[in-house]
Amino acid sequence: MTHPATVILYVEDHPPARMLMQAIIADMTGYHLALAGTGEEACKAAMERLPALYIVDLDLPDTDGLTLAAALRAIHEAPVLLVSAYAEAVKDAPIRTLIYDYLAKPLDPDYVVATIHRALA
Amino acid sequence: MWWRLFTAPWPEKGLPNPVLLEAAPRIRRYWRVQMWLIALGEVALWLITQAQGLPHARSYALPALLMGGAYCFGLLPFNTVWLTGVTALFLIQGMLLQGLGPATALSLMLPYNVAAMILTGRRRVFVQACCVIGFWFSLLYSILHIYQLAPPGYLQICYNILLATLTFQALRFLNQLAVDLSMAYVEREVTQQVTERSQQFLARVSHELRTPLNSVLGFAKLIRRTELAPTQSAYLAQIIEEGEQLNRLVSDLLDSAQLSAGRLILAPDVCDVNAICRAVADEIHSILKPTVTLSVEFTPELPTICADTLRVRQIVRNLVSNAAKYTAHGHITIRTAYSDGWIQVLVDDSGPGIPADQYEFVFVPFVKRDSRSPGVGLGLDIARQLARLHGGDIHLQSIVGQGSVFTIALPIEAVTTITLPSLPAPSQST
Repeated sequence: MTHPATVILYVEDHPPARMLMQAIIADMTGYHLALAGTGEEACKAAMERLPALYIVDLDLPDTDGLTLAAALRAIHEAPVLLVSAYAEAVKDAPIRTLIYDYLAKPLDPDYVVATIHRALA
Repeated sequence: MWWRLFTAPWPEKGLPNPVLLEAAPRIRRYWRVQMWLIALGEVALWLITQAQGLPHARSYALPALLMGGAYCFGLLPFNTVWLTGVTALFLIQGMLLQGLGPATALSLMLPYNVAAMILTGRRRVFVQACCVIGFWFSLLYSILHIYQLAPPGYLQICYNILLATLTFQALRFLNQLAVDLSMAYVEREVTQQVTERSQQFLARVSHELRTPLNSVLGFAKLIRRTELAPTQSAYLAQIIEEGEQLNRLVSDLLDSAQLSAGRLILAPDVCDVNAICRAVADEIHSILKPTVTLSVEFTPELPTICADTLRVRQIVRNLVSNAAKYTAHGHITIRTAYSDGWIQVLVDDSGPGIPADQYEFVFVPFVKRDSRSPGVGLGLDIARQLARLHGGDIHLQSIVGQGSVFTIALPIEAVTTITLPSLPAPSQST
């Protein structure tokens, strides 16, 4: 393959969770994972890296995942996966148009990879 | 202390007072009755003075009728300021018409002011003191009348005593009303706050429990993908199994809390009950004791129902895993049936059975039949509450020593309206 690896931007401030996602992406897919810890970093990274997919945690230090999802899609259009440890799946209709799908913590690597493939298909 | 009468806080001007707003229909009804009484009293007075050839007493009923009428029909804004102001106004008018001095007018005004304060105040003792004082002021006013007004004489006295009594009755009524309403209001407020707090707390706790679980389970599953010695993969399987169990426990606690707070929201969907039961059977197979056989008997062409697929699956799963937990040998059968607008899922087991007097007991949260069995005893409670949320229910039939049949009954149109959930509360601090 000559084309550059597809970039996925993962916005998460909790180090073990970042490590886990890095491991999942590295072990199970060929994508490149860019990391951001805050909303601000995420916007900067979205501008520079033009990711093909955003994975955003709902619970961020400077903003919440949904606000950030809208901001990121305004910067560079790509599907958004929302990650959260809150049990309630986000089923609200307006949010359904904003985010592509929802990943519940604890993450299941197989399900995460399947969802990423589905989102990027 | 008597001076507290004058230092009691006056309600904020113009703000709609929740107690007052809630009382509005009852107060309007009360005023309507009062209007009729005044009008009838006025007619009677007029008739008697006519019959006895006496000059008619100047009346203050007319402004009272006008103002009261305006209230009854909602022409005046309903808040403390208006209520106090208007009652005071028509009384002063009445007094002036009667040719009384402002001191007497004020003395009669007081009970009405007090009435308005009662409606908004929350001090019981204060309110009662006002009632008593209001009554004595009214009587005093009547006695003053006896000596100041000669012409219609005894009629006027009777009329005023009647008014004083009515005032007193009104005060008693309003007092009780205010006490009832403010108690109810405060109670509801407190309950709401407690629910709110515990919901936030639970959301927070489950979040905090899931965050480490995310790493534990996630990395364990990644390790499972690598080359491992047989013992290592056995240990790992145990870590993953227990981790999943812990996660289910967190979910169950959260679900249970949300159900009891009436906060759980269904996401209705077209759902195929046969497919759900099959999926549950496949899932449960792994935890079944080797001496137990699990079979399914599906009614073909079962109509689909409008319900929350994930939740229906949870109901069935909870019942089947409950059966699997208690059935040591024999069989567990999942059956589906359809009759008359209702889908039924029967979970039939050959477990120890439940005595009839304990049918309700098994649905009580945190109560387990066998204290050594895994879980915290929420499964059946959650299942039944979820079924009820769908407009259905769960029934139990059991014979001790032979087994139990749990029947889930769900209406075809289980959920007709789509309710939008509120967003999960983002945490305030990290």
